[in-house]
Amino acid sequence: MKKAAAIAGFLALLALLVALPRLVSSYKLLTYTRFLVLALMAQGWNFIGGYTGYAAFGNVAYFGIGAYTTGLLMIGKWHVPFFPALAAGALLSALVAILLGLPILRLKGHYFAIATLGVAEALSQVADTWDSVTEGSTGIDLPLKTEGEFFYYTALALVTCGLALTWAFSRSKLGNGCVAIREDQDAARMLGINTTLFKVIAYALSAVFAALAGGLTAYQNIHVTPGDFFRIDYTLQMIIATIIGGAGTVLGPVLGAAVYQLLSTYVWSKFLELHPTVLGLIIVLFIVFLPRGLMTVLGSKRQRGERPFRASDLLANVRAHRVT
Amino acid sequence: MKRTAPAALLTFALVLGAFPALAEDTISFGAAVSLTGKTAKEGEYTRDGYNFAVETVNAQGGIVLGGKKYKIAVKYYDDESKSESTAQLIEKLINEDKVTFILGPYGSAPSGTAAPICEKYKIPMIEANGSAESIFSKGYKYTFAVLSPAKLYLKGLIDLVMSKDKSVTTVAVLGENEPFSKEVASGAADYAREKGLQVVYQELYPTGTQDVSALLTNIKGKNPDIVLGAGHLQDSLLIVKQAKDLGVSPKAMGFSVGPSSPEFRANLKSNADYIFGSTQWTEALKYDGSDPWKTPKGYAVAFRAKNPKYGDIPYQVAESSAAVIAFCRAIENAGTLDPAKVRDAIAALDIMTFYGQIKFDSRGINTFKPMAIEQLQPDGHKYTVFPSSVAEKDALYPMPAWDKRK
Repeated sequence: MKKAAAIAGFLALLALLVALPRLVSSYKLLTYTRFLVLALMAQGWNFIGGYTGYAAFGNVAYFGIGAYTTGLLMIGKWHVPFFPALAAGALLSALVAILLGLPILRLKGHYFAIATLGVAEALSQVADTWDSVTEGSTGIDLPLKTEGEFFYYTALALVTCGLALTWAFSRSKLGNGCVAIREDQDAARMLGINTTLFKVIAYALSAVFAALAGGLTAYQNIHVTPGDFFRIDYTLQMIIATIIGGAGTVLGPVLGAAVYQLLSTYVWSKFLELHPTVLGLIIVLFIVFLPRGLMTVLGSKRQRGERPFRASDLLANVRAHRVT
Repeated sequence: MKRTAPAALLTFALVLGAFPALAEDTISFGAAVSLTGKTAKEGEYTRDGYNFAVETVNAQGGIVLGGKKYKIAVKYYDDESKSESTAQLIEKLINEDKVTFILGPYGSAPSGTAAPICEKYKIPMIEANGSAESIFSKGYKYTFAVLSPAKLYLKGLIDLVMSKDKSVTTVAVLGENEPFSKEVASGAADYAREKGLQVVYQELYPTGTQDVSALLTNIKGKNPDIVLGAGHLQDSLLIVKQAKDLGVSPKAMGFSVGPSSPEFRANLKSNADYIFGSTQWTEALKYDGSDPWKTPKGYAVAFRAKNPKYGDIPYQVAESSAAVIAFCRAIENAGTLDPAKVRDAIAALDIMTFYGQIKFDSRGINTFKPMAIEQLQPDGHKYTVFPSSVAEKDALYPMPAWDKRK
């Protein structure tokens, strides 16, 4: 019964999302497209940051690789159509993530975070100085496409696939292995989990999602420069979205992205100059009161027959994280 | 049930954002400028420039269309110095806030993002702070810029030196690896070659560099007559300091950005003497326009009276005001608010203003207004020395060698 209701609710939401372009202005559609792109990035980060527990701070590197690969293939002498170019970007990102992941996923904690930051910075410099291919800091210009529906439906399809993939992942041996690594890597290895392989797969998956988001954003923005695409803001946004929604959950990243995007859109349209402060404050409140994300409120506990979420839990969260 | 919570959130969001309709006798403009982030300061200059012009026009009765007077109102959003936000904001301004016209953002990258959206809705945009070629090479019909393009930033300096000294033959160009500066640098080098000069050195340095001595040592070996720098304030300061240390003494040295700001003199003291700087506009220029303020001086006095916190008036303020004036004129010329007709009127515009001539070439950029050149002179003041027809003082040339100064 419960499951049927959940599926019905989900299908109703999907139907609403599919019909959306007919219902709203193209500005709103663009806002929802931005939300879906952020959801895509957050879904990716969820694999490595949420399920596997590795604080990847450089996923913007794959966002950039996706953007540049898609862009460069679409222009120049090849004129590859968008979707194959996007796929190529995702593939290349996965490849880079595997090659880089093998050494840097040996690092733990802060060291891993710093290494990933370094990777993003290095790739940004490559794009900045490799004039003959990337046009350096001037950037590349993609063919113009202004149909908002195209980007919206592409993003929606990718996010829906992402949800299905995350759902399958969370129920697979791979997903459970990653969770085991997050909880205790040594114990996981003792149980016979090939930790390196699992971590690299999770990292590569996160890279693929970031690259898809990057390629889509590149085509939508039509102009790709290192300064605009290799920016740490993107990494931070995907992490914040995942954490707001609930890291290591199937729906969390999408929910978090929706809340983050709609909140920030609402805040900047109401507070002309103070909006970064207001948004920052809201994020702090989220982290303080709901460190495990919105999904805890929406009752993943109830599902397992535990007591429902209560308002007093918010204060309990603060107490639990108090520095003593 | 619980899975429908996201749906509820989305539906809620759909309802958000209903804006009150604007009064009928108001012409609404929209602008997305950077009020936070990297270019917050310049974004504020842009907004202050727009606002000052709007207030002045409104105080003088507004725009007259078919015997009816219209006031102007501007709706602002903050693009956070991120060009990808610009697209969203311009969509919102056109789609939701239903503005009739768009005033440009601050900077080339956001202007480039705004242009295709204005094109899509056929809403004219006049921008005042984006001069990169990439905006104007795509054949947009609805985007116009009142400022001189990046390529021409250092052209005046080359003209100035060549008018002073027929014997100059060599130029060295240093540029920051960043879209705008890169274009300034390559534009300067191209123009020098076109004038028959030899470009003996042309290199880019990374953004935020702390040391250019390797580049300057190289330049010293080539002993060029002119050294040109295209970067930002910090780079220009660094180049002058290290040029002095290394004894790089060309006959003329000039920068696209830096010398026009007060920090340049404050930082370099007497080492700033003889350095040239290019600028879009200074209040010392002798233009005589047909706008509410007529002259640069008149503009400066009126602006400072309204905005006492300003000392020197940054050119971003003036060019932003000029964009508003251009719009008002074009709307009056068109005699209607119809975007397509106003667009044609903008394309046909040719007016003299306090900011200089405003006229657009076929790509929509103002190639008719020259860049001005300022020079810091040993009496401790900064003078506008070029173009000579509107200058306040003669340029001092050549620059004495560093070791020959008192």
